[in-house]
Order: sequence, then C-alpha cells, then structure tokens
Amino acid sequence: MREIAIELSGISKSFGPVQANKDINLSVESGTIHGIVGENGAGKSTLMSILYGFYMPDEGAMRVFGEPLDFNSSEKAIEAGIGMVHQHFMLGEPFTVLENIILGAEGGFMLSGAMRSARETLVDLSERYGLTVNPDAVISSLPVGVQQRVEILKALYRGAKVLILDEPTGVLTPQEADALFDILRSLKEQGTTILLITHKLHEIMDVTDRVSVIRRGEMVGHRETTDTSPEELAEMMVGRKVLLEVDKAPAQPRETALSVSGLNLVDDRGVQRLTNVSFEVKAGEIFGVAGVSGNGQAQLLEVLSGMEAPTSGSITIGGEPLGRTPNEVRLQSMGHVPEDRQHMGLVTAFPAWESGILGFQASALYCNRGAMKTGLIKEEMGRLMEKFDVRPPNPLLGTAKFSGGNQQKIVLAREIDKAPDVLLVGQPTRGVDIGAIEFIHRQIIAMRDAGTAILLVSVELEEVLSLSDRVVAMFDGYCSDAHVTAEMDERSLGLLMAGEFDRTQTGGMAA
Amino acid sequence: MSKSRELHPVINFGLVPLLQLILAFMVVGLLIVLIGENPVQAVQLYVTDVLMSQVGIGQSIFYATTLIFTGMAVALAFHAGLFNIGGEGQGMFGGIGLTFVALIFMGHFTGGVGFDLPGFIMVPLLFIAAAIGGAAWAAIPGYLQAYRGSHLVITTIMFNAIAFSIILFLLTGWFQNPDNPGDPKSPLLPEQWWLWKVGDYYQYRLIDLEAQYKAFKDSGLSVPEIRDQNPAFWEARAQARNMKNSAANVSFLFAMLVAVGFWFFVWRTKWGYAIRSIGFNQTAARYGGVNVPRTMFMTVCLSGALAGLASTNIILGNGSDSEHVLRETGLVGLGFVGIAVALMGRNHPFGIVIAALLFGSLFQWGEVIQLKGQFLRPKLNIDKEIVVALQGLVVLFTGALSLMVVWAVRWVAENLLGGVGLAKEIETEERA
Repeated sequence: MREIAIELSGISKSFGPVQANKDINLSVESGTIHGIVGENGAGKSTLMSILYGFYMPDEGAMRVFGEPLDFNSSEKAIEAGIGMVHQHFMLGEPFTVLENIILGAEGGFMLSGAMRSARETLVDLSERYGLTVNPDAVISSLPVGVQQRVEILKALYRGAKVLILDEPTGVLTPQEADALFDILRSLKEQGTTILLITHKLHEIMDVTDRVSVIRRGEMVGHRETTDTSPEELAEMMVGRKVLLEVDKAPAQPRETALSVSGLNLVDDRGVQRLTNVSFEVKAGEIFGVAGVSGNGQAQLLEVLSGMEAPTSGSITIGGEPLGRTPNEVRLQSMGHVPEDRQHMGLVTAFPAWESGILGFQASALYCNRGAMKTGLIKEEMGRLMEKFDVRPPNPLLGTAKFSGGNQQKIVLAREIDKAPDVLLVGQPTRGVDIGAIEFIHRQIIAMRDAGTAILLVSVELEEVLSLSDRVVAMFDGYCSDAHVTAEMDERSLGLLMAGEFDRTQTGGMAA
Repeated sequence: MSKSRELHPVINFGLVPLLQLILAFMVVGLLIVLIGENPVQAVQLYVTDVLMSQVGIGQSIFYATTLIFTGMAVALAFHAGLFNIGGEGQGMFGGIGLTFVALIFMGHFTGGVGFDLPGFIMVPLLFIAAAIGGAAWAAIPGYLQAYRGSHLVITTIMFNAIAFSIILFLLTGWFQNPDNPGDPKSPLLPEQWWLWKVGDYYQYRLIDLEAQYKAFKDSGLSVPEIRDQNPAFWEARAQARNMKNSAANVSFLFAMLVAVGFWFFVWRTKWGYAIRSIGFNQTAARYGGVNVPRTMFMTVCLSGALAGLASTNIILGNGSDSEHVLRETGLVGLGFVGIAVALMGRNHPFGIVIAALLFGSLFQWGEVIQLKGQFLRPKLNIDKEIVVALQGLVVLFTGALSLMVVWAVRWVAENLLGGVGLAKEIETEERA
C-alpha cells in the first residue's frame, strides 16, 4: 500500500442552518488521481476550501503525509505541499506568465534575482511535466487552456505535492480538456497526487484511479474507478436511479419561426461581440447553440430577446420583424429562459409569486389598470408550482430560499406556461442537480413536440448533443453552419467550438 | 449544533426596535452624565413635557407630519436602489412652488390685483404646487442619474446648496414682503388658506371663555376668587390658552393617507413592482421589460414630490399666526432627519409613521430641554443639540448595529427560553 497523502477524518462544517459537510472521511493515496463527484451544492467546494485553509471546520482533523495540519491558513496548506487550481483563475491579466508565477513568492527585495531563478525553475518544470508555456507571454493574450496550465505551474512552483483542481474543465473545449488530462496523467507519473473535483462523470471515468461521492454534504462511498460505472456513480450522487440518456422522438420541423440574418453587435466598449450571425429555427425543433462560455452566446440571447439592439442585421419572428424592447418581443409570443436565473431571470429578493410574473407584471393577465391582481397571481403561482414540481410549492416563500434547480423551475414554469411560439433557453441545467435536469429536459422536449421553436444555448456538450435536433457552434462571436445533431459527435462538435469552421461565409444556413 | 431560526415577527418588529431605542437612550444618558448634568431630570422632561403633555404631543405630531413626508421621499427612492438625500432642497422647492402659486393669486406680482379664492379650492392647488415644486427640483438630479450616470447622492447634496441660494435670492427679491424689506420672508398667506389645526379649536373656545372671564371680572370677583369658585372653568381656560398655538393640523391625516397610498403604490401596482425590481436587480428588471432609466427618473421625481409636500405642513399648517410664510430655513433640517426616519422605519410606510412620531417627539424634547431647562431647580444645562446625538444613536442602533440586538435576543430565546419567541421553521426542500 502506498503512502497516504491526505487523510481527513470526521470533517463537519455548517453555515448557519446549512450543513455543508457532515462527518466526512477521506484518504487519498499518494501518486494517484482521486476524483470527488457530487451534484452542485453537495459540499465539494466547501470540503476543498477546508483542505486549503479557507474555512475552519466545526469538527474533524486532517493529516498531510502523516503530519497533522491546522486548518486555519492557506499559507500552512501551501507549506505542507497543497496546491489549488481554482475554477476561476487567480491570475493577473496584464502580467506575464513569469510574473504571475512568482506573485506572492518573490523571495527577496529585488525582483530581478527572483525572476532569473524563477525562469530556470519554470523551464525545468515545463520540461519535466510537458507543460509548455512561454514565460514572457502576457496572460490576457493566452487561450484559456494555457492560462490553466499557468495556474498549475504556479502551484508546482510553490512545491505542491498535492494538486486540487476545482471543476477544471468548465471553461475548456473538449480538446483542451483532453490536453489537460494528459498533463494530469504525466503529473501523476512524476509522483504528484491529484484531487479532481467535478460533476462530469465521464471525466471521472476517463482519468481517475479512485473516486469518492458526496451527496448533501455526506460522503456516500468510495470506489475504484475500474470497478464502477457512470450509472452507479449517478445513482450514488442523486440517491436514486437516473436516466442519463434523453428519451425523445425525431423532430417534426415545420415552418421557420425565427430567422436571423447577418447579425452584428458591437458593444459599448467598441468590442465586436457578434459577427455576421445567421440561422433559422423552425417550429417543432430544438436548435442547439454550442460553444465555450463567453463566445457571444449571452449577447445573442440578449439581442434575440429585445434587451439589446443589434448593430446591424435582421431578425424576424413568425415573419414579422422582431420588436425593439423585451415587452414588444414578449407580445410576439417569444419566451426567454435566461442563462443566468439569479441575475436575470428572477429577482431573488422577491417572493416567488412576484418573481413568477417577471416580464408579465404589466400584462392584463395580472394587472388591472396598474393594480396587480395579487390574489389571483398567488393562486396561479401555487398551481404552476405544483405543475412544475417546485419544492416547496409555496408562492409566498422568498425566491432566494429555493435551491438552484427549483429556481430554474420557477423560471421555466413562467415562460413555458405562456405557451410561446418561440422559446429561447440559455443553460437550462446550469447548477441544477441531476434529478431536476431530467425533469427540465422532458419539459423542453414536450414544448418542442407541441410545435414550439426552441433555441437552446448550452455550454454542456452532452446536453446540446442529446437535446438538440440541429446544432451550431459559436466561437468569438462567429456562428458555424448548422449541422444535423445526429451526424455530430463530441469530437466534431468540439472542433466547431474551437473555431474550426469557415468564418468568411455567411454561415448557419446549411443543413 | 443547533440550527438558528428567525425571530417571531412580533419580537422582531416590536421588542427589537424597543430594545434598540432603550440602548440609544442609555448612551445619551451616559453622555449627559459626562457633561455633568442629570439624565434622570432630562428623561423626566421627556415624559412629563412631551409624552404626557397635550402641547408636547401636538408639537410632536406637527414635526412628525413633515417627517412622514421626508421619510417617504427617502424610502421611495430607496426602493429603486437610489439614495435621495436632497429632501431638504426639494422641500425648499416645494415651498417655493407653493408660495409662487399663492403669491400669484394674492396679486403679489400684479400690483395687488389677485383672486381671493376660498380655501377648499386653494389648499388642494397649493398642495399640488408644492408637490410639483419638489418634483421639479428632483427632476434634474434624477435625469442626470438615470440617463447620464451621475451619482444621485452627489448631485442632490449639491442641489441642496443651490436650493438654499435660490430661496435666499427669491426671499430678498421677487418673493419678498414689500412691507418688511429687511426680513427675508414672503408676505403672510391669507388666513382662509391656512390648514385647520388643533389650536384653532382652542382659539375658538377661548373667545367664549375669555368673554365669561370678563363677565366674572365685571361682576366684581378677584382672580383668586374666580379660580377657587369655578375650578372647571379655570382649568378649561388655562388649557385653551396653552393649546391655542398647537400646530398639529389636518395635514397629519393627509400624511397618513399618503402613507397608505405609498404602501399600495409600492407593493400593489405594476409601477411599484418596476421600482422594486430595479432596486434589487437592474438586469432582471431590464429582462422583465422595465425601462430602467425612465423608471429611475420617475421615481426620483415622485420622491421629490413627497419631499415637496413636506413644506405644506410648515407653511400652511404652522402653529404661529405670523409664520404662514416662506422662510429661508425651508424644512428646518427635517429633510435630513427624513433619512434617519426612513432607515429606522425600514422603508415601510408603517415603520416610517412610527419612526416619524418618535423623531418628532425627540425634536420637541430638544425644544423643551432648551426652553424649560433653565427654569428647573436645579438647572438643567443641556443644549437642544443633544437630540441630534440621540437621533444619531437611534440610527446607529437600529441601522448599522441592528443585528447586534437581533443576535442577543435570538441567543436569549434559544438558550434561556427554550425557543420561545422564535418563528416557525420553514421547510425548504433542497432537492427536486
């Protein structure tokens, strides 16, 4: 048996009434890749923050390579050889790679000496682990995948023997993710211990040696990766059997419901966000828009929902030009489930019944000469919450008190209930647990079968592939040609997401 | 580890503010001890001469009326996520609007040729003029905030200073009383436009009482004889003489009505919905079809209108017969105190009315300490500005440190009372 790199025993942590971690035991063998899976909000990130000295646990003890370690500071964690790669990079954008790597570990008073020795160490590390980066490149000029490499190098430079990666692939294309896994494997071969936190099961199956599953703050089991299956892990995560495949009939597309041609958007700061985007969405189909987050999808949704005026280009809905404000667009029977429910789709400070009419507060349905029909709205909301299985189905409860999945159901209930002709859906299952994902997917498919034209924006490759009937990818504000999803796989769509398509064409009109 | 629960609403909205208030009073008591005076004497004055005296209550209500308006002005803007601290200047402009319309009808600008309209026409007109004046003065900072992104706090502070200059300019020129050129104030408004006040009732009664007094005297009775033979008469006369300047007036009832309207507007109309949505989350509001800049602009204007209405109480409802005029003192600082009232009232009209009554009584307390302290034995040598310190402490304990008391009460409820006073736990199912 190998040496135990990290041993946690009896870790508990609660935030007010929320028990984030409960009696967690974990031991990680040195020189292995250990996966930690769990739904969003299961307590994975809390556990890692405890390991890294951000939070003090209420109870429990930790040993690193046999030595007991206090929990109270990141510095001690670093000293003990723990390195962390955060989901959102902690890099100084205008600095070079080298400057970022020595940041906080400059050593002496003068910078030049530290820079010189750091450069040597960096070259050495790069060669040993195959982490090639140019030490003098400015961070903001580097692609996301390379920035992540810099984060890893930063940790290694500080002598990390245990590397924690928190949802490392969330911002990567599939190809970049593969490259990351290669790096992780070579790190392992050199003796580094790796803790990989993720909610993507295929990554676990791909790269880990052992896996631990957290559910609702509790450790529900440890498995050798070779002895388990995605189905078993999903069941452990959720606590019941889960259908991983989406069950749907072939689409019955009809007339064009939403047509976009030559769309350009230049934002306030003069940055070109959308370039010549064209596509058509037909009634009765799900039109997927894939892409790594931040490639113009958010702007596309804002333009299509009337929140932002395009710089040029035309959009028609049901043959008519698109309205110029969100209200006009809503009147054209367009629903919109925004990408970010907490910052756009809901007012979290409102009670559920008020959030449940956002966008329709002035419509005659809910409003009589300015006065809101509160009794009717609450009743209606209660009915909708039952129908969409929102828990608890209490319209008086504050929106913020619902979990992410239930908040998402409130948004879906509001938009779907109006039976729109066109539905824009952004990241319908982001931060939503597996059980609710199933439900949400079924609702979207039911809408499609009822003849709604659905535009689905998602950064989850699997979601786009399994839900949509046709698919485009967005890269840097450009939009690829449309492809029939059945003819695509992760690799071919991944290439599109990486911008491997002809950007000189109008695009989007094929298939 | 035990789960912490919310406090029961009755405790949260009843006991907690009371404790916070007591804390503030205790600190002020300490302050009074430090300056070498007797805090018990000072608090006694508050009880006897403010809370338990008819005059004290009347004056408290008078100040409270102004504070309800200025408090709601702050609160309305606050619901839109804006901090309007220009209540003082907007109140001045309310007064300017009111006086401007009044002077037109008085013929001030037309050499004495005016329309002497009755109160039931003029008073509503003057109220509208006050609201428009306040709204107009708020419109510029409101526009700058909504469409140009200039911070409302900065612009309204500046506009307070500008308003002060403008009001002085007007009162030493166009609006000035020609009969009294040395004094920067407008001509006295005609009596039929004054608001009905409690003092009017006693003034009316006093006519009879004084006639009776005269009759007693004429019949040859001496003053002690009148007092001893007719104690009821004597007391009624003393009370009437005391109360004839009591300034509590009908605009208090109007303020209450506006407070109810405020509640309905903010929580029961689509406009209030829009205002609150931009206050909480502008992106969500924009998504929900709310025109954010326009809503912001309109909210600041309405907020200014409320501050403008505060001037009606001071000009038309004044307790002193010679003070139904526009003065350069504007809202006498009550525009600023409105911020504290809104804070303590948690931006809810019910809370604002309560807080306004409290702060109004504190204002009166300051007056009493100043006026009466000298005549007490032993002398009470405290400046009325002590009230400003008390107001500050009230804001500190009810605003910035409000959770301190909440935690203490919750700790007591959880650990000493076994959960008495806690709210029912709300079931929040985490998983779908």
